[in-house]
Parts: sequence; C-alpha cells; structure tokens
Amino acid sequence: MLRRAVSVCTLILTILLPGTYAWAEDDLYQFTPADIEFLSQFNIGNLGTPPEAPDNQWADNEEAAEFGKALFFDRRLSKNQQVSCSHCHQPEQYFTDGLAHSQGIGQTRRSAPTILGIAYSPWLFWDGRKDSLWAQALAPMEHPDEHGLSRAELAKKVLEYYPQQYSKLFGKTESEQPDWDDVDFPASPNGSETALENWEDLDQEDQKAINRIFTNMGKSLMAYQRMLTLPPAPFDGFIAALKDNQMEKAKELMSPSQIRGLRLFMGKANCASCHNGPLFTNHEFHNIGVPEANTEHVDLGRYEGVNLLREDEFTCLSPFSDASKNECKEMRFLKTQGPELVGAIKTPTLRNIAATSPYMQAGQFDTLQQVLNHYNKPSPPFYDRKQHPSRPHFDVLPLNLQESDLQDIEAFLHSLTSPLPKDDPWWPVEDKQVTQNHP
Amino acid sequence: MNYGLIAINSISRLSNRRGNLSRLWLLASLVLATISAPATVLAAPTASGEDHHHHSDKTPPPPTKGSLLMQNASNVWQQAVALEDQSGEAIKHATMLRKEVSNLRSKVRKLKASKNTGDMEKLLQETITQLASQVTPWQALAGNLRAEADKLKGESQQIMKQGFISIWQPWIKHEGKLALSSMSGETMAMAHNVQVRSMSPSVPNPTMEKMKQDDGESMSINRMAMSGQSIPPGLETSSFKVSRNQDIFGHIEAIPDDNTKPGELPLNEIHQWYLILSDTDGQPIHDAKVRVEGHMPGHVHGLPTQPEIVEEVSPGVYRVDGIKFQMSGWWVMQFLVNHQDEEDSITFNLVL
Repeated sequence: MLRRAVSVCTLILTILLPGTYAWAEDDLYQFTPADIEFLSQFNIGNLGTPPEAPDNQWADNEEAAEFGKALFFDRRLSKNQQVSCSHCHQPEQYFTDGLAHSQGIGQTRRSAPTILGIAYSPWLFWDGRKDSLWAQALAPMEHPDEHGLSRAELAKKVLEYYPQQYSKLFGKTESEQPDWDDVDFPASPNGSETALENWEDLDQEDQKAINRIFTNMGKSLMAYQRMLTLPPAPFDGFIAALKDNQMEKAKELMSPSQIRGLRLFMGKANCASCHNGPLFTNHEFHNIGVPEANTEHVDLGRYEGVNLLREDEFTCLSPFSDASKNECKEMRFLKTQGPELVGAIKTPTLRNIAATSPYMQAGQFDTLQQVLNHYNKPSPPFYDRKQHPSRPHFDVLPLNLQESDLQDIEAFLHSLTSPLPKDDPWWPVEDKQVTQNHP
Repeated sequence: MNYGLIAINSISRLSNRRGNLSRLWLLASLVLATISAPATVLAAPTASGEDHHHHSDKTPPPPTKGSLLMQNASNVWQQAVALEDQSGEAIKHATMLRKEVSNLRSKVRKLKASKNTGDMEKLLQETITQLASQVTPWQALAGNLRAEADKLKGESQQIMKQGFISIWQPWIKHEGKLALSSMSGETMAMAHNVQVRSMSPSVPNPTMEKMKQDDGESMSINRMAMSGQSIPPGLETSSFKVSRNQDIFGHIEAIPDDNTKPGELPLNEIHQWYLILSDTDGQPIHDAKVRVEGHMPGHVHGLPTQPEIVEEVSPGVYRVDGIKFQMSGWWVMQFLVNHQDEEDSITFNLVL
C-alpha cells in the first residue's frame, strides 16, 4: 500500500514538475537518429579545414608554417629575450597561461585566450579589433607590455636570425630591406614617443620595407596556427560511439551526470545558442554582464574593436593584404554602429574549457562553477554614463536552474577536454627544448 | 441635477447616431459587396494591354502590360486602405458607444443613490441596453472590414508581382518568400537567447517558453526554439511590398551563387540581393538613395554587418551587398528610400 502511495506520489510529482524529471539511466543514454544528427554538428571531426584566407598567400604553405612555428617559440623576439608567443600561449596549457592578466614585459589588460581553433574566427582578440590572424599576431610583438620590441627591431632581428628561411619564402631580402645603419631604434608607429619619432624619420620606402617584413612574420605565424588541430575529446568519441551504436563504449566515455549536462547545455540552459558548432562558438560578440574588471577604465568590447579596425593599417583592405577588395567583404560591410556593440565580447570556444581557467576576458571568474552561477543569475552590465556611449546591451536571461543542474553542466564541460597530443609536431608538449632559444 | 434632461439628451444623441449608424451600415455593406470582385474587374484591362502593344503606331504609346498591372495593384491597394480607414472609424464608433454606456451606467448608480428614481432610471436602463447591444456588431463590422482590407492587400501584392515579373523579367528568378538555403544546415541554425529590456515585460520569453515543449521532431534532446521569437501569426513575408507612404512598390531578390538556388539565403555568409523599386505606375524609381537596415524584433539586435547599395544595375534595380544573417528566426529588412527629396521606406519580413 505504502509502495503504491509512493509511486502515485512520484507520478504526480513527475507530472507537476517536468523540469525536475529525473532521467532513468537507460533513457538518459537513448538518443534518436535526429538527436545524433544534431549532436554530430558539434563533433570536432566535422570542423573541416580553416576558411580560405585570400589576404594571406602563405596561409596554407607548410614552409611558412614551419617558419611561423619557429617565430612562435622564439624568446629572442622580445625586449628582455624572455617573451615568446608561447610565453602566454603555452602548449602544455592548451595555449593559455592560466592567468587573468598575462605577464609579458608588463601586464596585459585582458587574458590570453587559447589559439586552438582560432583560425576559424573571422575576428581576432576579445573585442575583434583585427580581421585576420596575421594582423593579430603582430600586435603583441610591438606592444610595450607584451614583447616590447619596436617594429624596426623585429624586422631586423627576423632577417638576422632566419636569413635563409625568410629569403626562401619571401624572396631576396637585400634589396627589400632598409639600410639598417640609417635606422634609429626603436622605431615603430606604435609604442613610445621615441619609437614614433624614429619611425617618422624614416622615408616611406623604408617604412614600407619594414612593414613588409613585419607582415610576412604575421603571415607565417598565421600559417603555423592554421596547422593546429584538436585531438577528439571524450564528447567527440561519445558522438562517434552513438553513431556506431556502441552503447557500452558511449557509456564509458561520458557519465550520466555529463549526459544530463549535455542535454541541459543544448536545451534548457541555452548554452548552445552561442556556443555551437564543433568549436562551441558562434564567433560573435555578446555582452553577458560579466563584472567589469576595471570600473575606472571600462571594457567597451566590440564597440572599441570596431573603431580600432576602421583605423587599422593591416586589414584585409590594406596594401599588405593579398586579397582583392572584393574578397574583403567583412571589412567593407563592417557594422560600426548599434547598441549591441557596447561591451560585447567575442564568444570563446568551450573546447578544453575545464583545463583553461580563469574565465572571461579579464579572468573575472576562477572556476566554471562561478561562471555557471553567473549565467544562472546574471547581473546586468556595469554602466557609467561618462564612459559608455550608451547603456550596454545585456544578452542573457537568468536560467534559474537548480544547483544539481549546474553541476551536471560543469561535468559536461569536462568532456570537451582533448587529451594533450603526444607526437604532434605543431603542438609540442613534452619537448621543452623548443621553448628555449630557437637555433 | 436634472436627470430628465440627461435621459432626453442621451436619447436624442442616440437617435442622431442611429441615423449615422444606418448610413455607415449601408456604406459598409456596399463596400463589402463591391470588393469581392475587384481583382477580376481590375485585371481585365491587363489582358488587352499586350494586344495593344503590337499594333500601336499612333501616339501616345499605350501603357505596357506591366505598368497597367502595377496601376491595378495600386488601385486595389487604395481600396484596401479605404477599407482600413472605415474599419478604424467603426472601431472608434464602437468605443464611443462603450464609453457612453459606462457613462450612463454611472449616472444610473448616482440616480439610485439619490432614491429619486422612477421612470427616469427605467428610461436610462433602456437606453443603455439599446446602446450596449450595438457595440458587438460594430466591432464585428470593423473586424470584417479589416479582414477584407487584408485580403485586398494580398490581391494587390499578387497583381504587383505579375507587374514586376512583366517589367523586370530578367532580374526576377524567384517569386515566393525567401528561405535559408538547405546548405546552411537547418539544425545548426540556432536562435540565441538575446531578448532583453527593450522588449515589453508583458511579452513572455519566447525562447524559454518554447523549450518546455519544443523537442523537435523525434528528438529526445530539448533544443532551444529555433524560431520561437513571438512571430505574429500570419506575418506577411512576401518579397513584394508597398512602401510606408504607399508611393513605391518594391521587390527583393536574393542573387544566387554557387551554393544557393534562387530564393535561398545562406546562413552566416555575406551575400547580395537585388532591390527593385517601382512607382505605383510601374515606372522604375531611378537614382534613389537607399539605406539598408535589418534587425530581429525578438532579439533587440541588428544585422552583424552594415549592408549597402553598391550599384543601380538597371533603372530601378539596385544591387545590395554585405547582407549576412547569423541566425534563423524573424528578421525585418527595411530600405529607407530617398527619391527626389521624398523620404519613404519599404519593409520586408523574413522568417528564416
């Protein structure tokens, strides 16, 4: 009798509380063909090759990628000979550094995002202030707080350290480089006042020659980053197992909590609305009301990014791009106005997210739990009339999920961590030698 | 207070209105009787339009079939607008009646309180009953008139479409509504939950609401609603539209590329359209300055790009470049047209 009453009660509860309906384990792992087709679109195996890059003729050149890799790990390309790209994008940490603010020569304003999958993004940096990976790669090089060298120094050093590789790829260098004896260092259109004065003292031909070498560095770094691929994560194996109807294997790859999390992620929690596709990102800009890292100097996000893009010297439309104007439509039809730009930050990939804390553009959250708590009860964006051009857009709604739901989603996110590769020449994990001075 | 006078006033107003009412009723039924035919009646000259074309050596040259069709479309549209106006009048009238009823009711209450009732209350009650009984018929009339107006607008758009096809045949490859290309992968075309403060608080959150039910066909995963963005039922999604000031007819045509067929739009890819603009006589709107705006009403955000008119490829045919949709759902595309110093706009709804 009691049993019956309990089962009736359960039935009533099930009817009354569909949101808290507890999945029986067998049901939990039951996915229909339509489910599997839908989920397959998140499988890393469906990522395809990086988008065409008409603005970089060396984008898919393997020698350029080799050269780019050498540059990526070369600490000599910094003011104190200690900072390489890999200093903040560490292969062992999925090309992040685990810091809220990266440490180069100084400290950066925002955190270093992973570069895995970045070749698929039309916009670079958290605010999308660059429209190509080659243009992006150059900015930290001459940023006083990152590599801290001037453009002229970088160009000179690259020719000095890599004369053969450079000339093999980009042709004769003698006629195309300035007479270095005539150049006062540092010289750069960005950076210190001295650097700027010295840059302005150079004639246009010399500036152009230096820019050519500099942008070729960027194009090689881009070619390298396009070579990076992600090994399948448990989630990808799970989808493949489902497709092959290997239920036992599927169950080994993802726990019931992770499956509940997966179902929430795609459905009730709405995460997949922006975190979709094999990289779990739509490559767009949103304001999710993350606490302002510095209320004295607010992050205007995409609003600022767009303004910087319009003045950028190395866009797809610039003379250093290899694309025709017609191939630069993202720049030609750049959206420059709209309240949704204010404070909007690029949706990051969720691949390896559990292994790449802290979170958000300035490491505002240390743990995934904090991130999920924020989404569950988001605070509206900070607004300061003096600093913001308009009230920031607010792109998320409270989820009002239960604690256990959030834990399940967190568990699911762990299934997106790929194993570190053992013998991927482009992603050297154990070979510490490579992070030393490159020969 | 003289309640006798109030009652008499009400009755006299009522009787006046009755006169008006019957006149309006008569007009309305007349309109309703005539509008059922107009499409056929008005389409008649078009059939002969082509015939004239061949043996017309004498001046002035006869109007082309296309421009006759456009004129017809314009006439039908004007009728629809007239009906809408009448519908508005009928609604106003119904509202007035309701106000009068409530006004009289409050007077009856006061009359009761003064205990000096008698015939006066009865008279007022009768008046109230009479007036109240007319509210619903007037509302129904307004509804019918509006429905007829909508029907006529649909017919006008059909005729306009024929006119466009006749005049701009080489440019028009697709007459139906625009939809996402199958290459875009419908299942991947996700809505996102951007839907915030500028939306009225009384509007329920469509994304969340749909999620409770919308499992998708034979799916066990709850997916967020792809298009549950409070799209009004019966939303007009024609690619042939009349401008706000009703001076311009417009048509949008997606220019197909290697991956899309006519009428298909790619997701997340910059692509081009033709915008064809005509005046209501079927003459191309030449040399207009056109600004392009697009947004998602359910999401409070615009297009991810800023499209522009890049050239007028033929009189009245404008090439729009830079259009990109980053998600499925209800999009509104608006073209702000400045022609000979007249500002007008033409708006298309797309459900992708």
